[in-house]
Amino acid sequence: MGKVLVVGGGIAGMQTSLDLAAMDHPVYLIEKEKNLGGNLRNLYRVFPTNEKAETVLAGYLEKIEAWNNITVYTNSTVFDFKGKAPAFKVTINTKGKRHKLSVGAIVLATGFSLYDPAEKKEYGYGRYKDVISAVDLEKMLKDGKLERPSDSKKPESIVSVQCVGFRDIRANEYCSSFCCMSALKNAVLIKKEHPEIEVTVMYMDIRTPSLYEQMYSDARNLGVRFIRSRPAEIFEKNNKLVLNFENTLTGKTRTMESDLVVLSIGAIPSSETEELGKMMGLTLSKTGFFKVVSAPLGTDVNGIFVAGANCGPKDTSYSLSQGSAAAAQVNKTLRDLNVKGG
Amino acid sequence: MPENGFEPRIVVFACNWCAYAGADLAGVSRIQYPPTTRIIRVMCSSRIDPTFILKAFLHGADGVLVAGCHLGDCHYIEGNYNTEKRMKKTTQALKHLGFETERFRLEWISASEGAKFAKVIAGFTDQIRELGPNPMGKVTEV
Amino acid sequence: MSKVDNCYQCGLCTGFCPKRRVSKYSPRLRINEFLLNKQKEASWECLTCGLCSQHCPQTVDYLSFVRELRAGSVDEEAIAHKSVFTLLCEIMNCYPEAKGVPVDFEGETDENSEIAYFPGCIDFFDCFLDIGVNFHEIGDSSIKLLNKIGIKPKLLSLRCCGHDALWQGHKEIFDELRRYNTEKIERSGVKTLVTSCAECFRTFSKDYELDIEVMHLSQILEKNTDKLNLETKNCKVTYHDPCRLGRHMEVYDAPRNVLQAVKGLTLKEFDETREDSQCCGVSAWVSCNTKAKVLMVEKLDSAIGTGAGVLITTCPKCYAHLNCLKNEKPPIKDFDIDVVDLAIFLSSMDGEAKKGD
Repeated sequence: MGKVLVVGGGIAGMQTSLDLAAMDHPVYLIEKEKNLGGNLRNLYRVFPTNEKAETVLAGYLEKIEAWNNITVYTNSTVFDFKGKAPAFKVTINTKGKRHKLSVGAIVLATGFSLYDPAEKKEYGYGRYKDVISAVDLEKMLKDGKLERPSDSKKPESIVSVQCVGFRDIRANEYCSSFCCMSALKNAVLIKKEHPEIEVTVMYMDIRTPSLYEQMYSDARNLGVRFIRSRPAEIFEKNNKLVLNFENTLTGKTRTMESDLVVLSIGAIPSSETEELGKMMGLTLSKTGFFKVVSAPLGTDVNGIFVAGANCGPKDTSYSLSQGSAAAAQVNKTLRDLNVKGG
Repeated sequence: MPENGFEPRIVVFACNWCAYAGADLAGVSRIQYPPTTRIIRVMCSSRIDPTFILKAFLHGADGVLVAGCHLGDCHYIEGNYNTEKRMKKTTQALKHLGFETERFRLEWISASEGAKFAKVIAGFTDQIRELGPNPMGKVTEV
Repeated sequence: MSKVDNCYQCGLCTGFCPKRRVSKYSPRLRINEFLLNKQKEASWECLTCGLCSQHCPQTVDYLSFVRELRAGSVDEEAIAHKSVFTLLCEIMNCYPEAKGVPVDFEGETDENSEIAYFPGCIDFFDCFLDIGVNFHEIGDSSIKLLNKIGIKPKLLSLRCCGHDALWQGHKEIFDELRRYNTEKIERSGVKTLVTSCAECFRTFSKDYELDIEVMHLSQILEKNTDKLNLETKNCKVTYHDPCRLGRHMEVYDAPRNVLQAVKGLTLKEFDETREDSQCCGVSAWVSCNTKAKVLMVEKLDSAIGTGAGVLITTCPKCYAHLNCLKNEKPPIKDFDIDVVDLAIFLSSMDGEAKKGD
């Protein structure tokens, strides 16, 4: 059977599905939410192109719709699994109804969950209305409402705090890789539209590899301020937010006021990762993401592959590239197992 | 402790205006007293910090004497009242430590009491001889 | 040497450091100087309060780092009261017939009890600290409270636990105190050591390797609040978490539970409380200077700000420092709050209802 199950309808899963379909593999694309799109639905614009996420998504949906051999199941999760390549038997659960699927290979593209910044109690997320997360900001920008949640006034100053809950042995040791770009992207967007708003980024290191460096230059050239520091705490005083920190480049400790504080948060393994891992016998790395056992995207089990942020935090471009890579690896594997397409 | 004729080493802190002058007078008057003392002149007995006493013993002094003006006669008016309070507390601390408090003395000796000075030293030396050498096993480095 | 290599210079520690509010002290910079310039000069401004390491995302153990730097070369100038308490430790160590600290207190004791009580150096504080409070009372009160909950403790006359010597960098003095005390405890046959001092508690628990159970007075009282039966009238108190009991040993609830078991007592919390509690200003007698005083004033002001009439603490040092500042002559200002040790406070309301506000 050349059929493939793709678990997860985010950008990686959608890309995999399209590539597989183009190679004559019928695809079952299952998605736990009501709609396809995954974390793309949380975004306003995607870097580095700054296209609107909803446009990108609409493009994918159109293409998926056009393929006859992609069957989409939304509100669906994997219920049961047995067999081995090229004969897996998977039961999926759609709102209580069970479907049995026979597939030759499986691609897990289950994406990521977001870190809950309320865990960093010192930063006051959930306690102070005007401390928001980067995802909250994306929604605000999408809705066209850049306002302080407390009084709906336009903020005169915005501070973005990087590495919240990451590069932190007390939370997540690893670096979530996309939050620098994400923060800079929004800083640039905000500065372009509201040059009078004071935008400051508090960072430990700015991670803008390869051609992404342009975004950093753009931000600086637009007057975004950068303070190298990890703030100790954030609290509220006289209707403004106050950050307590040491500027590590000047050595001065300061408090700084801001109308709005945006906490840059990143990716943690999605809740399905551990479940699916157990169900299918897949190793997780010590950070809880799926472990890639045979490059580029193979797991411990022959015929099961991963793609996208479920094997490590990554941005949209990288995720969709892995989507394609997974499709190629699936195709090769199935051909090696002498299964004809269709 | 057996007294096999050891020569006590006694540290004397003497205030400039009274006790030290008294010691001077004893010397000028050729009144003999045992050569066991090392006299340290301070401007006022209240300059003496309890740590001086403790350090003196730690460094091997067999006896320590603090000598100041009679109460009411302090050159700095109230200094020696502070000395009295402080030295009482120091004695208390030495007692807490199980240290022979007889090794530590506070005396009021005026500038004209040369003979008294000599007598005090002689008596104190005898007492220390009886008590024996400083029991502190280790002499700390200066 | 404690590993500080993984410090990535984020500055979070300095953002939290209380000394940094009143001076230029920066834990981050200090580590940087050590890593890059091999600068081994000891750090005497550090309170060793632990606020920095509590939050450090790289879990750098800054306290051990500071302690080890100090062990290289003790700066006598940085130690208050001319190191008199350290001298007492030296004497205890080198004087063969030296008794340990005095343990002559009121109350019922039992030579054969398996529970020992150790008061620490409080009687020596009475000798050398003239700040208008009585430290001996802590011992009397602690034993009275232990008696009340049905315990007749054995009084163990150990030498000073060595906390100050250790944190001042006097490694040899500490090692000898520890050796003597460990042997004495082992030979005594006791199974539990109760102390009324947060610093002794931390030191016996973490810096010694004892086989017995070490408890702070508040912990053993917490286990027996039903036997305490204390009552007062309209008394509002606030509680200061000493660094050594709080952040160092993570004991936050015991003293609070004991206080809240007193009828008629209301416990008000500082804004910065428990693991966020601000240090009283001095630790191990190191750097008791004007900068430390600013922190003490802040602490007292915050205490008054809670609306309480009494500030309770479970460490004789915090008790000493805050009262010293309060009773300074000439006075800095009038602090309308009493600073009292937990044992003295509880013992004073035994039997009688007390009015206090």
